[in-house]
Amino acid sequence: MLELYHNDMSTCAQKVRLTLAEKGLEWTGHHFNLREGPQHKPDYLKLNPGGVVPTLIDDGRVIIESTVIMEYIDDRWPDPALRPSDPHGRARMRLWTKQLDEGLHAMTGVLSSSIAFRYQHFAIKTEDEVRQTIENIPDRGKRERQRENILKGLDSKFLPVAVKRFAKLIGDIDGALAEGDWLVGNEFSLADIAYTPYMVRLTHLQMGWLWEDKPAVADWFARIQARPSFQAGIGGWLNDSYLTLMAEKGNEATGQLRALAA
Amino acid sequence: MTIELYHNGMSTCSQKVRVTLAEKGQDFVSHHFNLRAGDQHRPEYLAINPNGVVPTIIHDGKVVYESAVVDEYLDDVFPDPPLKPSDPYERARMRLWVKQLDEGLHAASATISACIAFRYQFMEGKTEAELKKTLDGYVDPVKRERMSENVLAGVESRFFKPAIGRIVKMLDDMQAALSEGTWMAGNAYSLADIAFAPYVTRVAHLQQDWLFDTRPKVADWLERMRARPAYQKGMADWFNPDFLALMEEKGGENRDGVKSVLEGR
Repeated sequence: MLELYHNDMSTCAQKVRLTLAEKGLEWTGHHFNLREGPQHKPDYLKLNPGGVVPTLIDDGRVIIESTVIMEYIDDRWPDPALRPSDPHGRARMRLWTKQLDEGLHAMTGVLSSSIAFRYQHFAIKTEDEVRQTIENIPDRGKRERQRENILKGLDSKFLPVAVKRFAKLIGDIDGALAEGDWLVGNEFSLADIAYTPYMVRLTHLQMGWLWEDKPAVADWFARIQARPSFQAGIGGWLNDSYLTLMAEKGNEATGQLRALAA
Repeated sequence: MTIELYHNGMSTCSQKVRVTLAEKGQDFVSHHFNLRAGDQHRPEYLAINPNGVVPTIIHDGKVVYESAVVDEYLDDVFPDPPLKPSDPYERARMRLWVKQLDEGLHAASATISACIAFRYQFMEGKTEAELKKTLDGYVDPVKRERMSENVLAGVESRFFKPAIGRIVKMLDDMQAALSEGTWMAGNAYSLADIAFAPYVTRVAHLQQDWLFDTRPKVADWLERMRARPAYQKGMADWFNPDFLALMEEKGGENRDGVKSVLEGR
């Protein structure tokens, strides 16, 4: 039996749900409300010491970290293959997925928090309680980023770097698509799956202007959304209250964000 | 099919790839870079590796870089002997180890190396103004800030404490994993062992192997690694005696400083 600890809007959970859907695998879900903090409870930390979602349990074997889980799923259920057939293609795929773990994922957190999610904290907590929540974040780097993002919003010192990094990413994607339909040539792979949640997040934050002059990127994203796995892994899990907030705050921030990207 | 390797003798990421090549019995055409002279930032190299770091391999006309990616590539193109466990779960464990290096451990190793020893290479023979000019030359503002403080303040740098703390956690995690199996991902020797050998070796070169005293499984594992012909060929044969002498001298001088930082953490 496959069990998945996850959250509806978590980008890393989205990656794994997409992969499971592409493979046609059934799973039992344990959905976490991350704002309530079940991911930091001792029982869960035994499974996932970093206190993050997702965690996959396959017949009692625990697998964590979305990039590792995706490759695990493709190793364990090879059909249909989600890695390019030739070694060089696989290397290119891994260069894509690796970038997420080396900073892009963290920068998505910067965008989401400083533009929109910060308001979720202030809606239910006093400023002192918000500060306390931030100080309770175990990871030092994340704590420092969230202190800026949640307390300062669009004035976070991390925001300009994050916006520029995403502008570069969209340029890199555009460059890759000049060579084929997918990020690695003409084979749909874990690279396309891995970047889908981030494209979705940028769209929700009203940042689709990043590819307004890049039709190849828009077409690629449309191809991804047309796959049945998109509905099963992402579309069917969207949380309306998040979407409303991201749309409202994203629209308000657009002018400032465009200026940062320029 | 020839393999060309752009690399450096003491670079941990180059060490990983050379050990993998040696395990696979693959020879390569060497392009050895002097990193202190900035060979890796030359335009012709940036054209093949936009990140301006070593290593890069060119195999069959195809460019592959980033050591974790290169090592998996080499195991894909030369499957024999396999360096990935056959069991998908153990393979996931292997990748979980390797990934940590790219998510902070490699940077932590660079920080402790700079603070304990390599800072003296930067300072040697330079006036204060020349040193400032060198440090201001880093393009990335985050790296500039970190390197400046590491070079100027050594083990007193505010970046040192979290970095050495991360290295100690690595050794603790290895001690735990190696208590359950012979190798890091379980019972099969794998790319995880190859990937971590350079970092554990660096701790020893920096004279901080006293940290192994309470982690005997790590010490035993390092002995097993050192006994492999591929370690000799991919790592030891490329050690730079000047670097080793500097790390030995400065590592010894700084040992008490490192201990006091760790006790105060």
